[in-house]
Amino acid sequence: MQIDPSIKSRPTYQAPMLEEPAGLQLFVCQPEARGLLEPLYQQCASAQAQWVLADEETGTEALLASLQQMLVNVPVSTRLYVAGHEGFLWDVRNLALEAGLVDEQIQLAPPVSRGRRLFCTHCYTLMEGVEASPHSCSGCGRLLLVRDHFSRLHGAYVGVQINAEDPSELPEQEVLQ
Amino acid sequence: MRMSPKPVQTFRDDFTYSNSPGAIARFPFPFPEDEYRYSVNIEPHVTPGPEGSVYEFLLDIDEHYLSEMAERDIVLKENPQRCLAMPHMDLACWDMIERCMQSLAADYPQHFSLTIDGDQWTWHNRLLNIHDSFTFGDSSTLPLPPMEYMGRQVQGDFALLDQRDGDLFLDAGIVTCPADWSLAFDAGMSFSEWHGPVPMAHEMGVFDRALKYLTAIPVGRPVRRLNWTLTVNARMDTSPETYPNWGTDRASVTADNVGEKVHLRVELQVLDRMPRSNALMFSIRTYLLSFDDLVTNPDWARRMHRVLKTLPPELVEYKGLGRYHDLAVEWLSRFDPAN
Repeated sequence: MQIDPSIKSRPTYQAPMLEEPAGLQLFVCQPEARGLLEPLYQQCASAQAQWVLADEETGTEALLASLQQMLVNVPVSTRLYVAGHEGFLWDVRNLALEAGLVDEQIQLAPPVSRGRRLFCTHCYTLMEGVEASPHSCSGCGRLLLVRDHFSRLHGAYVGVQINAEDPSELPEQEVLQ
Repeated sequence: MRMSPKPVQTFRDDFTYSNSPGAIARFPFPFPEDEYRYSVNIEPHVTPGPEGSVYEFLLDIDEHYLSEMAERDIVLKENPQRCLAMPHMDLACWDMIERCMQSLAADYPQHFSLTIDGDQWTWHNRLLNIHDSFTFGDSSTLPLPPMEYMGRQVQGDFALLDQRDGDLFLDAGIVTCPADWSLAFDAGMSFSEWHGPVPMAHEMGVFDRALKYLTAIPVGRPVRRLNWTLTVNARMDTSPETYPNWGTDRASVTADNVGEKVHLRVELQVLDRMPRSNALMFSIRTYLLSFDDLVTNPDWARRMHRVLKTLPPELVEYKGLGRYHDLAVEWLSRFDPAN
């Protein structure tokens, strides 16, 4: 098997553009991605622009929890700008959709790393920061081919055992694009 | 020939699954030409179709009913996540229950009956010895969640596609006999996303045209198409989840066992608009036929040879035939001396 060259479920990303007017401009990011959104933030009138940051101590989980709280009471015309690792981008987007926003209100910046979230199709374990294929599943130990087939719901690429047809094959690892 | 369910056979381990002569005769052989090419091969599913054919009714119940329901039970016990329904799909699940129960009771009155008294429904499935009364629309009155309850009583996989923004989303399903796709991973995907891994067809515009057609299907006007692949052994559950269990099957084909090992796997896919939810019910009814049985029909034997021989390499790869494609072509060639 080869890594599929052009799988249509794989998202493409563009640098976010400021959309105005907006009731509230929310800039949501992981610390290492702040630079991607800083220029847009600077363009906003400060009253309607707000950072939602994961800090080193509380981490991403806390950010998502506080964002969820925040989205309960935001203006209808809120816009979201999201930057960080790819899995994080989709976690924020899915959380926003649950809160009643629509995709048109949400812009996802190009991921700050090539690390992928990987979904093991055999045991459903999710792994973060996968940069090479095949990758050993942290759940079931199987050697997974990292495919380009992507789920927005999981924010993840699918991994399928690379040597299920002949377990004696141990293909060399290749860095993912 | 109308088919009566026979005792349980297996789709795993000792693979006792077999087709009677009647089942072979009604097998939906999917190739209209000697070369297989992608097409938007969708046509109206007008019922009743020819008597005794797989197209006679909305849902085909055949001699493998008990075997497939037993197999489904094994898969779901092993992995309950092979069935799922997002909360917003509850109404669509009840649409599906209504459509399936009404069709089954009307088309197979010897096996199924349905009594409706207002919202009090009584369902009797004599094949599985199920006799339940429930309040239509109230999932708490069923012994199982509605998708699983109905899905455990009909052959084939089922998905419910939510239609919004001109697209279709895979938001519910019971998928225990897929041709290598995972409901758990593909859940929530749009039409073009869940077809993402299919080679070539996107570039040919197949999915754009199919989506336009499917989103326009009205209530009461179901459509159908056939899809196919090959499967080694009569294995229903060729899911990615269980690929580690069946991957080595593909390396087990030899020149001597092609006829018994290799099966033509055909999906009769039917799409039917649900009246309350506007979802599409997508049924994927799988038929398996060993090459030994297939070549009892000389026309099929000859055509199968030609189709496999001319199959583009991308499709050989995508369908996972790489390890035994040459062996299968060689074995079939004896039935097609002109080629």
